[in-house]
Amino acid sequence: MFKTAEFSYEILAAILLIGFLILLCAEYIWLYILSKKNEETILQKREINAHIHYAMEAFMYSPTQSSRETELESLLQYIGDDPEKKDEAAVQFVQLMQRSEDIPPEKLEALDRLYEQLDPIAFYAERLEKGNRYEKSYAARKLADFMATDQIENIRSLLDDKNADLVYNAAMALSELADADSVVTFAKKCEKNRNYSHRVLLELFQAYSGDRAELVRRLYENCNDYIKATAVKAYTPDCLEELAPLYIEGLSSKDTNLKIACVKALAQFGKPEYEQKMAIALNDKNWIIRLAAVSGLEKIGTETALESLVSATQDEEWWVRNAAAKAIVNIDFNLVYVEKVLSGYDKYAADAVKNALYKQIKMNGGALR
Amino acid sequence: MNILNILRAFIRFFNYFCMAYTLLLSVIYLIQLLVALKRVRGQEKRKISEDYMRYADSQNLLPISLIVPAHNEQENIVQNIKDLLNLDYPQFEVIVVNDGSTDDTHRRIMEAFEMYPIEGAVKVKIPTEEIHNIYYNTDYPNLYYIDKEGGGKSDALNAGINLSQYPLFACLDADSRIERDALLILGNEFLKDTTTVVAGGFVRIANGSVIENGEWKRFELPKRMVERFQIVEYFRSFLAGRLSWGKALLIVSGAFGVFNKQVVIDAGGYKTNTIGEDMEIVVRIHRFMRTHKRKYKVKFCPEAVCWTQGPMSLRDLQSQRRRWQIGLFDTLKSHLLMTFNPLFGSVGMLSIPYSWLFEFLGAVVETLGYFIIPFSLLMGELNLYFFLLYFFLAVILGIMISVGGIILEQNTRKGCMSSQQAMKLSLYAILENFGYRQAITLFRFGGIIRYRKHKSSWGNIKRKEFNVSAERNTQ
Repeated sequence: MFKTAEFSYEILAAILLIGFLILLCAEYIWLYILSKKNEETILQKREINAHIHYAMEAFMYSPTQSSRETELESLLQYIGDDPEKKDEAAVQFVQLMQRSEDIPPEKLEALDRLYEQLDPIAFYAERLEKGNRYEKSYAARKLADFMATDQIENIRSLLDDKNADLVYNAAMALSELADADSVVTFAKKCEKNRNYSHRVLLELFQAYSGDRAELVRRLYENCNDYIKATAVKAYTPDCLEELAPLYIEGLSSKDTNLKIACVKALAQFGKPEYEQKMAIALNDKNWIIRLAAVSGLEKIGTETALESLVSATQDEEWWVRNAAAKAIVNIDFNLVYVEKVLSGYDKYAADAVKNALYKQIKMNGGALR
Repeated sequence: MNILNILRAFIRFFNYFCMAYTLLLSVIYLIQLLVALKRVRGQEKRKISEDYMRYADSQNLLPISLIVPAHNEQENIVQNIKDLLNLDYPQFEVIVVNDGSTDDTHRRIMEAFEMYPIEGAVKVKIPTEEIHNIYYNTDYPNLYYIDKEGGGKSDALNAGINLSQYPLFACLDADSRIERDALLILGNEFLKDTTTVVAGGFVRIANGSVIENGEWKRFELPKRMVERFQIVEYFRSFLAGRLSWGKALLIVSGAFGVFNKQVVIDAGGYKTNTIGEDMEIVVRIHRFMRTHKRKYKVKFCPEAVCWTQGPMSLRDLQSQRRRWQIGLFDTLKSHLLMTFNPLFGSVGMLSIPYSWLFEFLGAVVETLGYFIIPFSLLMGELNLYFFLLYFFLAVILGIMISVGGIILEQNTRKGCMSSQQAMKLSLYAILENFGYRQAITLFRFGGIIRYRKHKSSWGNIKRKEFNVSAERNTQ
């Protein structure tokens, strides 16, 4: 009885060992097939890329209409119904269009013809409809690249998905397609869900291809201060003067971020009419707002702005003092105000200016300017 | 007579325990491998819609301070700084910290970049050893160089954090090269999800590979066996091991990781009297965030690649592995309170106990097994058939795990290795079971023995210039 048990135990163990050996062999075969497949995929990708590239160049640089037709036929034949080739062709088409300014008009017609035949919008619309969530994300972005405004409704439906990546890509696509309603809807969702960083929102707003001032107005009407501040920040470099009243309104907000964004946005204009607003902001209890006001006054650069900057060198906050000193050194060409601070009673203000002068001289290799 | 019987009983028990332990460990590794494979597949699908390259020209990516602690790195430091300055990232600064080098590191940096001392206020958020000077050159507006008293890698990192002006920082080894898009990938993790506090990249062995001007060109197998074994080992341990832990990951390689600066400062910065600072800081962040009930994520991104030089000799390998084991022990000891503590969730209940039981104790149990099992075989205390069965099973499982690591690599980075290279490398998955693995276990055991002596010091591993390998391979 005992011997039989031991015997069957040994057999079992041997079977186990053989089983693992078989598994190991299967793993080796898997590795071989996978690495071969990877190798082939990479080669194939390179081949597709190169073929389409050269075919497109040949098409573009064909001297006659008939030779262009021949090249186009050959390119379309090569692409066929292969989605990978179609995708690559669409990507390269966009790249080609990006240098359309250098392309003579008769060749632009050829590009139109290529576009018609490729029909990337239909191709990506199909992927948007039938693909998995990642393909949908990709298709939405691609449709936006082609300004497929007729697909806005289909892309909008993705905004309700649970997957954050898909929702984000859909929102980005809609922003590129200038769909203000969707951008506002998405921004409203982000009021509560702060998983997307505010920089993602900045990217979203900056991608908007429609009337940006109008979008900011709508965001102001519908969203909270966090979104308002982000929108103001996103469009500050655009210097949208028509938004100045909104920025001025933001200066009296209780939300610090909105206030900072508005001060910076007004500062960006660098116009003397906003100097008084900056001077008021210079007395704010929040030092970041005072710092933003200093940079605004530096941009304005008038005599009165310099006067305000001199008083800012006496600020209790190191950063404000130093920024003000740096601003004075940068814009006070006659060094009148520099001397005024240096000969003043405030040691800290003088130190800040000395430091700014020292840095300026160091930066310019021994010269002040 | 009685004592002899007790000894025999102990040896018999230990034999079975040791065998069961190693087999259990192999099964755990296999499970980790499967989990990692599933994650890699998921990431591959996600890659279709990943658009980090769209951010390449965007000013909205969070700016990063790259901190490069250097101690006796004269061979690579200048080229490494030049490569870092060429990275694809909208806004970054490079802070090189010379931590009391005794070689030519300082002179080479000063001459290559014509740096001059600058005076300016630095807010000391984390105390460090004395800083001799901070250097700058307007021709390299985003490069800063700190020359300081030697205080160890952690101290150098803390000095870099104090000077850094951006919200994220990356710690980089002076002897490593990161790929051009690696920062974009990791930077994007912080954008997509504001709860991300740490994101680590995948560190790969550069030995043999062709790297020209800091850029990886193609994979080649290194000449020395010890280097080839390490490649297999990195795929197995780092790729499978780290991917499988998900949010409960305990270590982000010191060679390449991006951190939320404020969180690191809040957690107290890098611990200075340890050599396992890369693991310690991550564990401390886990501890800090969970104690303060703050939402956070620690991420591992295998697509963000950093190339590093693995030790080229057994002696250097021994020194490296000892240091790693000391670092592991030191970290686990410092955070003993977290072990089996449900307050720390999956970190306290899974990752830390796993590290104690398998990463730390593994070296002890396996080393004792190498001596006791053959001894009991000689004494007739162990059935030969049973032993052979165990031995072959352990070897087969070991090979399976290593080959699995290579499969994982093939899924992560398609086309990096040719099929021929992958198959060649898989041969080393077999060979490593006969000597290399045992040597590594002994080195780790040595680390535990010498814990007190080598607790806090820079490790010196012989390096060579990166481009040398390129020349050698193209000849």
